[in-house]
Amino acid sequence: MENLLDKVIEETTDQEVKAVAQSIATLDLTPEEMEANLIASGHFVLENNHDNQV
Amino acid sequence: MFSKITMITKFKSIKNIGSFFHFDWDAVNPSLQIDSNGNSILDRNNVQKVIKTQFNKLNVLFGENGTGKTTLVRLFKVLNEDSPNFIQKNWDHDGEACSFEIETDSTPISFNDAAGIQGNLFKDKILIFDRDYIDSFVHSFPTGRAANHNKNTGSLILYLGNFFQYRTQLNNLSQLKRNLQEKSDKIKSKRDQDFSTLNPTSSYGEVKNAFNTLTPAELLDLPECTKLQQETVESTEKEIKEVNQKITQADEILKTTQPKKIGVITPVTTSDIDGAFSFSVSTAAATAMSRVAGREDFIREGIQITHDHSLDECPFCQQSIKEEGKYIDSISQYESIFDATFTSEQDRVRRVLQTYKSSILSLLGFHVPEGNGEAVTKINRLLNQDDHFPDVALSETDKRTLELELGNIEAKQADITKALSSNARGINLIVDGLNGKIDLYNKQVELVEQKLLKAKSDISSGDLPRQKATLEAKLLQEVLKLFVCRFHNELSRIFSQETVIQKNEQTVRKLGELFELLRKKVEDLFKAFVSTYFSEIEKNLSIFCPGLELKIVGTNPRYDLRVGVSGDVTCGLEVHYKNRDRLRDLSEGEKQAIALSYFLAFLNKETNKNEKIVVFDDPINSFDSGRRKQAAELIHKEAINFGQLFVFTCDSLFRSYCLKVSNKRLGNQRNFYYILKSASSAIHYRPKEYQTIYSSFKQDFRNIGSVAGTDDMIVVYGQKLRYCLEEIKDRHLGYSEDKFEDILNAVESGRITSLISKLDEIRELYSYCNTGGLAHFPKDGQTSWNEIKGQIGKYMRLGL
Repeated sequence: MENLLDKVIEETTDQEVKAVAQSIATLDLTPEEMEANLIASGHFVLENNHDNQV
Repeated sequence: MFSKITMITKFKSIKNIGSFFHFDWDAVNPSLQIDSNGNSILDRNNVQKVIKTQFNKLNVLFGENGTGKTTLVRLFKVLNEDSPNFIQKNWDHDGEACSFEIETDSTPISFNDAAGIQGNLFKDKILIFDRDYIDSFVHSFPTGRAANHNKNTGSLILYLGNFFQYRTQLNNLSQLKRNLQEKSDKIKSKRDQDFSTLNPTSSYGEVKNAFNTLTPAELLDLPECTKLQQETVESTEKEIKEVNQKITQADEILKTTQPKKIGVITPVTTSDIDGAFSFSVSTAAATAMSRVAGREDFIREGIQITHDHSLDECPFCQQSIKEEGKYIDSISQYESIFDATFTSEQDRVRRVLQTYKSSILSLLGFHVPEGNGEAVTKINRLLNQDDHFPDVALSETDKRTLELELGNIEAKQADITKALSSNARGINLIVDGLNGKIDLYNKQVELVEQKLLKAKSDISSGDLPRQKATLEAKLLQEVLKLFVCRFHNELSRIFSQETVIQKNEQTVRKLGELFELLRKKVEDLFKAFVSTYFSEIEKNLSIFCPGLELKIVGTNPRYDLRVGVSGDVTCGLEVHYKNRDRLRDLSEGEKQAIALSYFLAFLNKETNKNEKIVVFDDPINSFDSGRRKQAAELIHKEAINFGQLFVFTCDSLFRSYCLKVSNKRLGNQRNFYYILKSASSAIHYRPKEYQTIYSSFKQDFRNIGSVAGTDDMIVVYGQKLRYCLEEIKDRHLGYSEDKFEDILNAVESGRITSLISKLDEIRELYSYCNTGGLAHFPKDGQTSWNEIKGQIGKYMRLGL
């Protein structure tokens, strides 16, 4: 089965799309697992930590 | 140029994998042939006869369910994936090591728990059609509906190949995007709610701009900044109120008179006053003056007449007033008192005193101009002011000082020739103090006056509405600044969410773009899929299931994001029979036919076929006999150009078709094997000359005396015995696929009666094979070679 995500990562010139695609890592994940990857890579933030704000 | 064709020649050994507990190819399938006496069978050249039991180009492996076909198919998957994931240990020995050895016409392949797979030549070179293939590559899905699908509401879609997985992947991505959008919106909504809780008077953007314009100094002392801004706001609010007052009270303001200033009080001339108070005459003059007190004018007139007429006598009483040519003392005294200079001085003193007295009286009677109090009250009311004039009244001490000085003046006036001391300097101090107060008072008057004049000027010029608008705009900005000062900490937290929200929205947007790119890829793949395989699939399906039609959904295949909501078009196919949607009602056989049609089309388009192996695992178990024959022909037609073909089946009819077709197409390039199982599964090569397995096994039983009684042989002959017992059922009661009428005929023909007298022996043998010692061998070691030889002897004596 062709890995479509790798294809897109290879072909797209949009660096942000590429970065998001790389963070997802693989399409063989549940939406929740993909979300966890995006959170871990910092592409999605659930809530801001006010205490860390200057 | 073709690569070298590598074929699998043997599963040389399989230990503790699936149903194969201990399988040794060479023990089960010896190549050297011996007779019943243990002597070598010689060929016509007098050489011991050797047969090739190894796999050929085409291999048909027949075995009933549970005999080990799936285990072998899994080993093919292990090779294709180059992964031990498909290896399952024997259930009864899962704590023991497992291994396999595979011989090829090149180098051997092996596996054991410690070393893993070694020497695999077949990674990605084996194409397998089995139940997993059907489950993985043939899917149906109701579009636009959920589980409560009603067939009248739309078409079902058939997905072949990877398109179901692509669809799942895209749907997961789409779901991810929706989930993240929802979460991002919640963060945004929470931020907006937090902002709204502060009751802002300006928009989010305006507040943010104001927030960013606070200077470092203001940020350094926010409480002070807030306080100052509060004052600024209050001041502007007041100004607006004033302008409003002016607008509403314009007529009255224009008629209002301004308050008056108080004139500055001139200080008294202390030198004059002191001079006046010190004015006095000699004692004699004073006596004389006291003597003529009240008659001063009479005396002055007499002196004047005397002088004018150079008289020596008093002009009134004619008494002599000269002695020896000079005025007598009294007249001289009168002359000094009443001469012009004295008189003039005396008048001046009086004037000074009078002026001084007036000044004192004026001071004592000092008051602010009348009406000023009312005027400022009115102006305050009209202009919304709170102006007050300062108190300019004399203190009680000052008043007493003035009154004392007044008495002093009067005392001097009463006796002008008596020298007294004045308090003119003290009075001037009071004057100075009062003038200071007057100055302040007048300044306040000026201020009020200016306000009134300005109000009148504004009213007259018609500028008030513009002023009001300007002030209101100014107030808005000031209130905004006050807001950001007051809620700086809260706003800081709220605005810090901005980065988070922007990042999240950017990610959601990019996910959407990623989805579009992937969707386009799936569309392109489907177009290519249709172009490559569709006609071939249609052609195959028309052979297996005439009348069943596949239709590409829509004129332009596409993946629809709305699937599950309202979309009804995907990268899939519809299945029609007599122009009606049939996908919902497909039988297992029809589904298998579609899958096989796709697999065969897939084989048809494969490249480098001669380098690859094709494996079919019961491809037709749901087919009727007609379709089994066609399937056998099609399978061989498509697979003939591949390097090697393995067909596993539990169907004797399909086995027969396969052997027939392969004989026709490949002649001596095909081999046939039985897969049997008792304690362990085993692959048994069957040479062509044995028409049936039963006859070949019986031949083995007759030669059992020449066989070495190893544990392996106990297993092998146990399998053969068990299989031959099954033949009794088939031969005397009918095959499971036989028509009911054929079975009845078998009963009627009397074949069943021959069994009746042998039922006990058959039961005993059956029990031995299935639940007796053989079933547990070699787990408990209760079965011996002699024992199985005895059981085989019993079977042979049955004569069935």
